[in-house]
Amino acid sequence: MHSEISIVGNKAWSILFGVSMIVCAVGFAISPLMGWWMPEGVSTHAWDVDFLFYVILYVTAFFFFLTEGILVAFMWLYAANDDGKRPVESNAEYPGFMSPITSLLYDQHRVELAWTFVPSVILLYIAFAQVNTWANIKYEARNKAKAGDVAAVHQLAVSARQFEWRMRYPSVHNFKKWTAEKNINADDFKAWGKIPHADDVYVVNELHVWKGQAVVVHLSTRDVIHSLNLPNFRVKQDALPGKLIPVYFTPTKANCKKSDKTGRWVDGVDPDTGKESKDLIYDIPCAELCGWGHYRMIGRVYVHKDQADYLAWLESAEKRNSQRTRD
Amino acid sequence: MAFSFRAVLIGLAALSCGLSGCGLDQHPAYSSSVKYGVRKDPILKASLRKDAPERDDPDRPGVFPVMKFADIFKGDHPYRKATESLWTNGVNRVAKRTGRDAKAFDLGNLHLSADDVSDFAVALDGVLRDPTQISDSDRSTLESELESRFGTPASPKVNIANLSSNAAEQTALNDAAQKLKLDDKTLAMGSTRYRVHCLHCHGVPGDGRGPTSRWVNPHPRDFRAGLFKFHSIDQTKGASDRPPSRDDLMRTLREGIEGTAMPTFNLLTDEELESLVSYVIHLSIRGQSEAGAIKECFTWGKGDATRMERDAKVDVKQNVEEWAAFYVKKWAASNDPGAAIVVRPFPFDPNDIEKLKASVKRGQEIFNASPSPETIKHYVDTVLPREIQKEMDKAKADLKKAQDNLFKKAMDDAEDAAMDELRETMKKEQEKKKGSKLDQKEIDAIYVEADKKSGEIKAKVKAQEAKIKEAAEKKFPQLPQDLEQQIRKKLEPGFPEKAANTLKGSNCKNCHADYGRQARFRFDDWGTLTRPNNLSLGVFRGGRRPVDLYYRIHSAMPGTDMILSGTDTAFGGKEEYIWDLVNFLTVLPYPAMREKLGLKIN
Repeated sequence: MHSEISIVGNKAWSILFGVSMIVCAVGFAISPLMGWWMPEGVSTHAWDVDFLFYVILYVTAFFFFLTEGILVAFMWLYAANDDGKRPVESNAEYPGFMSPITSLLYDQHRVELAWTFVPSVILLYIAFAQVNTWANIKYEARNKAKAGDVAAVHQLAVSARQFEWRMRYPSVHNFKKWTAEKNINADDFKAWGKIPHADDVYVVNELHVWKGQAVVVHLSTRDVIHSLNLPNFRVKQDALPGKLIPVYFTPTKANCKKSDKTGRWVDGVDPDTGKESKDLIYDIPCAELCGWGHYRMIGRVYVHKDQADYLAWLESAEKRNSQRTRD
Repeated sequence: MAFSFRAVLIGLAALSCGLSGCGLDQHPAYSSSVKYGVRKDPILKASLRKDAPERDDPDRPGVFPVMKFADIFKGDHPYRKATESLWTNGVNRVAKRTGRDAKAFDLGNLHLSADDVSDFAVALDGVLRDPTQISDSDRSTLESELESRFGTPASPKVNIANLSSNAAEQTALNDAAQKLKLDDKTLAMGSTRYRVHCLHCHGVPGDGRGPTSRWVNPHPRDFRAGLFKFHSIDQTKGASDRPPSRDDLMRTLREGIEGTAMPTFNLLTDEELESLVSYVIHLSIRGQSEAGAIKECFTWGKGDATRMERDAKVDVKQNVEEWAAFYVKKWAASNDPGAAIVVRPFPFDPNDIEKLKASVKRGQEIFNASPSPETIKHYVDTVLPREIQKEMDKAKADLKKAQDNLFKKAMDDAEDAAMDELRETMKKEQEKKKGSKLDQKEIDAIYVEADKKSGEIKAKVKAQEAKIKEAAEKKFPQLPQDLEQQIRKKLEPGFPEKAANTLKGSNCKNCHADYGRQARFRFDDWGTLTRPNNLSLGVFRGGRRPVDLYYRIHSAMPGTDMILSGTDTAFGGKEEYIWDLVNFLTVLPYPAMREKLGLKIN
């Protein structure tokens, strides 16, 4: 046993944990630069979500380095000697420089208070800080108002199934009617998510919205639990069998334009500059393990530059949907 | 303590090695040791759906119809009913061979040894052929022949070299393979993509029995039968089992099949999808050739023999080649522009609600095979004028032909007359010179001389063409003034009855009982039990575009009981009513739309 210990040294564990801590710190520092970080947030509520994320990240990072640092230091200082004996007798005095901590440690009541009070403050802060963000993202009342603020309304239905997203859009006729009325309380507008219309436009795996427009996605599933994940928009919502769940977001960055060659809309391109970029491809992965094909259940979000561009796409999709000739 | 520290280090090293393998090659090729092999599941020789009655069996997810021949004799196998009439033959054979009492067999609980199964395989051979009865050496012969033509999963090919001794036919085959994009490079790419995206359901040889297929209902398509339900090929011309075109398969890959486990693959590139289509065609042609060879190259020995042997009259190599050539041509034929269904133009403006309402009502009546007098009148009113026009066009074309012939004859006559005149004048001139009658030799010389001037004469006559035409036209036959009335008189009597009979003959509700809500199970040609679509749900597997529904009604789905409607009948109106049915089907699933159009389905 002794000989084995001497091979790696008595301070091996402190070295391992120290190195791990340094790797974590370096990774934390460089990953945004290396493109290993979250994709750019392109919805109005993205920063609110990111803010909460960063708050939690920095709080946990602070405590991680604090406790890990103490752990490594103590393991280094008090590792067993080569002869296997404790380096410090149990009744030994702590060094003088640690007296602020030791004096606290000897008072159990104050220790309890400290480690209850500090985390409580942090947790309470997080609990209250997220309320407004959550409400903005999830509450119907707040998102309805947003949808009514702008000149048009946009809704679509996403039906998840193994292993694809089936999208349903209101027809051009309904879209124009609702846009002209600007009445999001119209009966057929409200009921559209639940009741499919004969003239709806069906598309697979393509979620079309336009820049600056609040959108409500009526999410349902035809088989098992799926989860609609829009990482670029900081949206994630489970689809539960038997439930129709509204999902709200407002995109802020367009990523598609009509291809002159094919007449189809292509994503991953800035419509204003025409620059192509991988960062402009907005995937819709399924975020709930739903079966063997879970890995390939990916759709794409197409953010049009404006309503006119969306309408042009919708018209082309409707034309394809109601095709009555061979070509 | 120290040991576990080392273990942690070793574990971390192993993990990083393992992870580093990710993302190197997303589409690795098959190992070269993977082979297609020769199929072991029974081949349906006759379509079971012809005799098999409808059934109320519950859905049977996870239960394949026939994995092994011996499965048929277990419990309530769906094939039981269809093959039961032949079972007594099997029992008799077993009884004769073993000396057991034929009456002692319990058909509900058969316990069969391997030899007994062979006896049954002989007895049922008229309906099912069990390839496992082929001896190992014959199987390996067949396998090597198939491999030389179709390669292995790692290097798939459709080798059409020297398939025909006829040079023209060989060129046609090369063109066909080129049209189907069956070159080695495309197939190799398709094979790697198939391995990643399709294999787990559709299986290595495309048998629809990959590892995940058991959990999928309906079962994944078995490509080896060469039958594909969703297509746009006119099945009313020639065979009714024509394969789909490449575009049809591309569409299925892009859109997926709603209501089944077939998802969309629209995130793959066009090149990848094209290569997958090629590979699926490759698997299909291979499977069809394999089944053809198994059916034709082997036979049962005479008398009481219970082993399958090579048919001495058939050469395996040649047989495989014949099938390969046959199916390459068959697939290529589906890619001819002429093979596609001709879609009749939509008869009215789709936004015209009143017309849509009437059309949907007619569609419902046809669906239920109970046309109302108004509906019959509608079709008579639309179809009869068309039929009359057809007849008139025919009469006019005939007349034009007759007139052209007459005119041609008049021109010929004029030419002949002019030639005769020329010869006569030449003859007279010669006679004057000679002073006496000409002998035969001299007359012949004049004829030869005259023929030299025939071009001149022709030009002369041509100059008078207008005049001759005018003269001829006076004698031209004319269509009777009341031609239309005459044709109408000929067609009209009995036309409404014909129309009514045709309309009553559309038996949609026979299978789609209660608009498909109470449809019962039926066999299809893959041997699975399927249920006609519940049309009230609005889930259309072949696509929900109106034109997709048109294709389905016009040319049905190969391998199923769906009836072809595209065939023109004496009434000539069948294609006419497809759009009415399509309109009805597009409205049927939507209660609000039904209400708007006054459609009741209860």
